Amino acid sequence: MFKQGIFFLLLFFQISLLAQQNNMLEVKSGSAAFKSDAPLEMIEASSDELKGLLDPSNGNFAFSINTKSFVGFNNPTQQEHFYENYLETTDYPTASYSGKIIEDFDLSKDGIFEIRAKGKLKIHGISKERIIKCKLKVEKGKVEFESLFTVRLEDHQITIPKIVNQKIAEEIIVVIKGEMAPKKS
Amino acid sequence: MYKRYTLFNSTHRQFPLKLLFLLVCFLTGFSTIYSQQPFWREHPIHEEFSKAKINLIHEHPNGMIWFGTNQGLFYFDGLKYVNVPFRDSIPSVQNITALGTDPQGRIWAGMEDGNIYIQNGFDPLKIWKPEEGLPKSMITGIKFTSDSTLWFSTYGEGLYCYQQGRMYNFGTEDGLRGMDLYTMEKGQDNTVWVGTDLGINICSFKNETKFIKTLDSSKGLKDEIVRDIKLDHQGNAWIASFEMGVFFYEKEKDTIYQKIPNTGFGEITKLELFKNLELWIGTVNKGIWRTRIDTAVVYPINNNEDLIKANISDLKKDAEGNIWVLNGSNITYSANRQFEWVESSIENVQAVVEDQNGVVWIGTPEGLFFMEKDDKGRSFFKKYWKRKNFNITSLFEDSNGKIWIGTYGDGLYCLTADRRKSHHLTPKNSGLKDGNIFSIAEQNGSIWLASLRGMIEIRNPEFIGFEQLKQTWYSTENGLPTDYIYKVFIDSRGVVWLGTDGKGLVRILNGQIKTYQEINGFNLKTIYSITEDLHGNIWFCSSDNGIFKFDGNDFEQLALPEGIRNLTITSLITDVKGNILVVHSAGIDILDPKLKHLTYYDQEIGVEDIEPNLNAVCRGNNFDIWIGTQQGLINYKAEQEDLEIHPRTLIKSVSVFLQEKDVKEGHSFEPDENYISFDVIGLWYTDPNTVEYRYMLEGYDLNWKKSRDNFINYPHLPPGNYTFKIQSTENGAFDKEPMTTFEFSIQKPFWQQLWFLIVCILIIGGLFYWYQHTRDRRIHRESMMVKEKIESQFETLKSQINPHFLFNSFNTLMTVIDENPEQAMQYVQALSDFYRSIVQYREKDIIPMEEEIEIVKNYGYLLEQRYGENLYLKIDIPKATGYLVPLSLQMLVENAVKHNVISKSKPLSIFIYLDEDKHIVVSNPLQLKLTPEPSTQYGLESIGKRYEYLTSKKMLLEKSETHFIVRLPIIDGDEN
Repeated sequence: MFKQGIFFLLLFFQISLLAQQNNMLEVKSGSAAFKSDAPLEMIEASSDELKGLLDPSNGNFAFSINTKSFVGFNNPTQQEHFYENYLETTDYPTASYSGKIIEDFDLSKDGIFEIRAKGKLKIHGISKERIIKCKLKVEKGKVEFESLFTVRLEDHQITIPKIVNQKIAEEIIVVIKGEMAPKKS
Repeated sequence: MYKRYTLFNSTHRQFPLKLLFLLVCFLTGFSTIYSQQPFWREHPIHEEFSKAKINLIHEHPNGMIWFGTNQGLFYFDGLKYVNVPFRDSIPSVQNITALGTDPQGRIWAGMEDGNIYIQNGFDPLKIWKPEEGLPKSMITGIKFTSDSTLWFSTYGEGLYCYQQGRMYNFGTEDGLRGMDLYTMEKGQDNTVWVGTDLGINICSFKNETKFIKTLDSSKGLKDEIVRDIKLDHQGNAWIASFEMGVFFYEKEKDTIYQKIPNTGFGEITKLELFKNLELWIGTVNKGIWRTRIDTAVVYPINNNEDLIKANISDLKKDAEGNIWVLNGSNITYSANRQFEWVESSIENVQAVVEDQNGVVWIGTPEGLFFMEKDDKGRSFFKKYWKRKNFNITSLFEDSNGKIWIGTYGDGLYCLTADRRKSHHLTPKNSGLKDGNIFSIAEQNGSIWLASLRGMIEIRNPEFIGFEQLKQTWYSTENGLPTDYIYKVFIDSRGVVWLGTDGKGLVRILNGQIKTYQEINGFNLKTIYSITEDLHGNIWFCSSDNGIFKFDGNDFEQLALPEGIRNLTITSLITDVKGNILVVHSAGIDILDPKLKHLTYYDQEIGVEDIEPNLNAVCRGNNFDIWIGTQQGLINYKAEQEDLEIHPRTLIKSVSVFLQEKDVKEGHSFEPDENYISFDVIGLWYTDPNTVEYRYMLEGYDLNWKKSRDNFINYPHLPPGNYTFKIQSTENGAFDKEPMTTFEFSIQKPFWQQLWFLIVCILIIGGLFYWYQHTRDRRIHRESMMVKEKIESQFETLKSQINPHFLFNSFNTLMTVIDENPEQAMQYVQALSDFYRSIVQYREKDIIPMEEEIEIVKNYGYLLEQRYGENLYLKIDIPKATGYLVPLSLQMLVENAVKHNVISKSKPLSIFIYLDEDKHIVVSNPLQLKLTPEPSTQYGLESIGKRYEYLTSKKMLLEKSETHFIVRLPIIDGDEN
């Protein structure tokens, strides 16, 4: 819990550090959805509480989401298991991804392009370095983004009891979508 | 050496002039300046791709050489280039900048735009799609380390590794010295070395942790821009810097120092390392430079115009010992680095020796020359003595450093170890037995001379001045088979071996002479050359019989069938690795004494149609062997790594009806896919034109077939299991060549398969059973029918002659006779007709309905006479066609009469008519007698059964409260 607090502070610090700079882009509306397509059961849920900041001048970014905000489970039991047994949301209330965009990019021009980010993906309190591909659509200063990536439960030490492992895929597909706009300071 | 020479030998007073001449020669690049140059072969890419620029070379582990170009991927089998298409759309950027092979043998191609393509077998290229996406910067290297990790370096995004399905990036934030990586090499312990603008990073990735070690100026790397790296077997590294030449990283000391300063070769692009031997340097616009590792003196390749000022984009050796060079054009260049001509104007080298100082001495009919090096490390030949007509036939350096010079007719010269003095020994001045010396050797302090007057052993070679020689003379007088001796060879045990003219091999051991002339039925005749392998076996060549091996007990011959291609062999010499060089006019062959395999070298190294001089060969201090010919001097340097000596045979594709098919080994073809073809290639880049194939389809061919065609067809193969076996050879001897196989089978057509046969047998069995069964049933039915008929006849007869009927009939008759005799006549007539009908039809199965109705009418008449108006029989059959069971209607009427009350108050009406369903119906109202007549119920049953046997239609019985109706089916005429 203490560790979590520290992390949260750090993330907050990181976001606020980024936020102090000008020309920052902020997530105005963003969602994260995940899908576990296991042989016996499909679990799907999503959250609209994606937050994040991007500094277009150097490509630094930080995104986070409240893990308790996921809704849309098949049934309340599933949701309870997800919160309490797998993600342990009380101990790990946020998931985050922060780092730097690998390639040079220019958000001042309209267009659709693909970028790759290199950063730390933190889920269930376990941080992993990941490269994540993301599609951007720039239109009049607004930036729409969409990204699909996979998360291996094993990577983040999310252990599944043997009896239900037919119900949860070892690899979860995550889709992040949203829109960013210049932060008003 | 140079200085020493100027001090020495007063006989050469004109020396300064000579120096001037040499200087002029050097400056004008003329003649005597010697440089060793490989023989280059050019392989232009075909017309269609004439504008392609070939960037890089990649040798697949299976031996195939691949080229990355600005127009995509090519492979080259030695004869032709093949372009590998892109599977999907053709990308806008086709410039391949990196190639690698994964452990599964797939080729990975990195592009200028950062894309990566994968190619399997000889299939088209398809793009790699990792979840993380692909870089957008040029891929500069692709490597696979043995921890199943794929590495790719980029120019702009640093280093990537791909491990267990995840991609990771090494950037400056992780400790990489730069994001622009020029090169990547595979190191020890699953590391990769990358060259940046600020030194080298040695990277590895384990347990999701990045390990990066840096080698930069702090270790001694003064020029930190690293263009290329080559690691040797000890883990040391040769480092190509941008402008300060080549540096060397010594692993043990973990330090870097400059090894080869930039002496004018400028900017380096690529390095290639020949283990312990040479380092080749590709440069920007200054061609290729090379250095011997022991001397570190650099000199350029200058014998090919296209390479002299070229921008060398890649430089790589292959498994056969060829070096491949790219200059950014559509041509690839290759040379076999083992053999090189020593470029100089000196011809007709009759003898050669390399002394302990590494100086090469050569003897020609014009005199003695030696190799000199200038202060830049370049070498050239100098004439040692000015004398003319100084015909040198043999050269030898003894263990004390003296050089012995044998001449033709002019005796023996001896040059002291310090080269300050020389002695001339002739038969006149020293009592030398002969002045024609063809071969010189040393044994335990004795010098042995092969002459035209037998063998001379000088037992005091340390002599000073012209004192009398102590010599032992071996000749025909004391046991030699001839006095003409071409070669003296002393083996590692000190045994003296002589090659004689026409009289075979001679061994001299402890003064005992033994001659080997007739062996294994051969007359050995003239022996020109003798050598010894690393295991102590003696090898020698006989003038007409090829090469022999003598292990001390047995002789073994290698001749034309074993791959000896020229029986006139002038020299045999063993190299540092133990291989034997076989020198003859068609070229030079390398004999592996263990495998007895010969590798041919000729036109591809530029030594076709040479005139080698007898035993004008010597081994140098290092890896060199010098071979003297009339055309000049050839240098051979044995490669330190094991070379591939066999062509590698690949089955490129398998076709069915000439259409390529993607099949794995063990494939089972459909029965109609019986036209199988194999596209094969035997890779032998050293000389691709010599490759021949030998193949056999086990299960079809009984014998091996030989061919030069690499497309092998098998049309009309019957079903079965097959193994296609193929070997390729470059020297005509297949026995020792490795074999490539492909197993497959052709399925039997379904009508030949077991399951089908079983089904067929079952069906036939079933049909037979069914036939048998129905026949049995028919027979049974027929017999039953006969039985029924007999029974029915019996019943009928029984009923008709039943006393009751007769009694009634006669009663009736009696009455009628009285009243109406005419009617009585009629009655008797009807009665007799009735009985006749019964007799007539009882045998038959069916009768026409017409006739049956006739019978019933007769019967009805008889009954009417008896019952009068109390019985009413109405027959309403407008048209009687078809057939009935005989007496069936009669029996039904009889039944009706029998069971029902017939009286004045209750008259009985019987109706006979046809219904809609082709039945004849007998119907009567039900007015049963109170006491039923005794009945067997046989009549109805019998009719029913007979119908069953005759037709599928059934007799129908309807018995209601009021009526009793029987419907008899009418049998169609054609039914029976």
